[in-house]
Amino acid sequence: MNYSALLLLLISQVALAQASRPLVQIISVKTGNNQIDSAFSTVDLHQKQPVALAYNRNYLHFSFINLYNPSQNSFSYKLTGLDYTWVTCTDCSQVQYAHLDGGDYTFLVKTTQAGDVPAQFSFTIEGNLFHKWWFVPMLFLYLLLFAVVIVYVFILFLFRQKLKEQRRIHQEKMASMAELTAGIAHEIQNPLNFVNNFSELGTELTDELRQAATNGNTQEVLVLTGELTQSLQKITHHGSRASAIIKGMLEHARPSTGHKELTNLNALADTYLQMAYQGFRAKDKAFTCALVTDLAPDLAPLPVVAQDMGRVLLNLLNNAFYTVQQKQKTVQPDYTPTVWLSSHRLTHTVEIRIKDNGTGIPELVKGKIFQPFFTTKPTGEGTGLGLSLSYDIITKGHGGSLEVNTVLNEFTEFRIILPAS
Amino acid sequence: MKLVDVAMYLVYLATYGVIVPVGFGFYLLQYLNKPLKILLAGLCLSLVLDLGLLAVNYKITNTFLYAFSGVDVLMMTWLYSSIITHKTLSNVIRWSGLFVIPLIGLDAFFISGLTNNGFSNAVEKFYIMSIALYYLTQLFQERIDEDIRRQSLFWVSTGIIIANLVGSFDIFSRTVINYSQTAYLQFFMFWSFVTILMFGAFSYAFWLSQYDR
Repeated sequence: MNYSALLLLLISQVALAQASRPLVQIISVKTGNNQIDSAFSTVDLHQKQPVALAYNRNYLHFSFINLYNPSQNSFSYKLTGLDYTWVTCTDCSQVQYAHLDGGDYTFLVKTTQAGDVPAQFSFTIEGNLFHKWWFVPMLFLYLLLFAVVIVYVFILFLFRQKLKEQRRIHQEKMASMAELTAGIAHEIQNPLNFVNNFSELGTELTDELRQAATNGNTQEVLVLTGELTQSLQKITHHGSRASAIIKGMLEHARPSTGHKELTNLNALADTYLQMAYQGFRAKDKAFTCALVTDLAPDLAPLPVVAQDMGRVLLNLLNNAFYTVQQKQKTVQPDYTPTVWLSSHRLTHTVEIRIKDNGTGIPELVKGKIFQPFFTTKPTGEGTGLGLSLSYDIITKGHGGSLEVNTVLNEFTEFRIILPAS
Repeated sequence: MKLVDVAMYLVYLATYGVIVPVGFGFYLLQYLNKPLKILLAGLCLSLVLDLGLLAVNYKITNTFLYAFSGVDVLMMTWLYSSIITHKTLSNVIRWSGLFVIPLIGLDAFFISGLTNNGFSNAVEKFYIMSIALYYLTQLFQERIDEDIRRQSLFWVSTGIIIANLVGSFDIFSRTVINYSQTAYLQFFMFWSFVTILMFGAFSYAFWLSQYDR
């Protein structure tokens, strides 16, 4: 190798080294926390280990200078880990970065000359608590707890409202039971009288039968036996009637199972008509009312909740008797209180109508009668839940509808419309 | 006026607002039932601690915060264990309340070293909120026929639940203050409103006691 070639290689190496040396020097790096009013601290740029900063020392201040031309203040800088492109400033010698998240960063700065090698400063900011794996789940858990408590209190409130409503319904049921009791007592008394009378008759017939048998009068024995059989059949018939009344009362008192079963609506309606009427008669002996029934004979049994349907019928019938009773007290003597009960089989529906020629319902009140706790009766006489419950039972419980048609001081007619299938 | 000034003003107002229910309590002392007397005793103790803090010019605020937590737990445990009708649960509440006290001590001296009571405060508040919530459930189910708004202990429990639900956010306080002092101050303003609301509920509860007889 000749000397000239060696010299050329040396010169080119020096030129290359000169070209790869940064023209800019980072002269200071300060760190602080702009959220807390604390002093900035200077980072030792000559330390050998990697610069690691605490999560709250995330406000950085870089100062730099052009070593070869200090008056030159045009620089390009970039913070890898944050900036995507180089940023150029024409009259600056310092740069600040705030709110840096945890992570690895390198600050690069160079002159605006093409091909200049940038000066660099690498550092790491430790992740703060926001970046800890448990922080976000914990925060979510807290928010969830917050929501759960609010929802729980809301549900508790609704539950309490439900309990209150149930208690009011129970009170309503007890009130209607009290009304029924008098009627039922009267209803039971009649068959019991029959049972007693026919029992006494049976005793007498037995004595006569014994006498006829002793005398050997076969003809009379046969006649007396026939009469005794008839008497016993009457006892059975009236005993069954009393039993049916008590069963009906128990059905009414029993909590609804919500289970639908095929029920003869005509029989159910007729039973409750008699019960309601007797109930009013028991309370007011002077009260009389004409009962007009027109029950469709071809009405097939329908799947209904019998207790609930009985409750609806009783409510509507009680209202009908109440209103004709009130009207009877105020109008001329030729007024005949009348309650009509009819059933009709329509194409797809079954309709039960309960009509009275009582006081009717004012137009203003008509819109409110199905609202819970609305009553026009004096305090203590009505809970205001009867029609509301009836409406719910028919519409929500049986998919039917309950409609009212009324003319003030003329009549009121309630129509229970149930789907036929 | 800076945010920090408004926040600090509200915090002081909320802290020393305890004087209002204490005043109502003493004025209506003859009408108070046992749980309300316990509440009044606890509030008096809180007031004494607040005044103590004032006397030492807030130099040992952090230490006082642990003491406040302790007083809070003791007061609420005593109060609720005396009114929860389920005997076993009442005993469980009493004993678990007593176990929270050593936990606060543990946090104070060994975990956080008397610097940040966020952890024990959150545990304490969660505990109090749970028992208040249980009592509210009991109240809602048992006193169906009474107007709940006329029940002193309904207002006491409601105030406690809201304040402790918000207060348990304290577990994140250190993180929040490091992230943003503004957010932290805003949280404390909200906390102050809620605390004032709680003392308002306590005062109303004391006021209602005269009609409870």
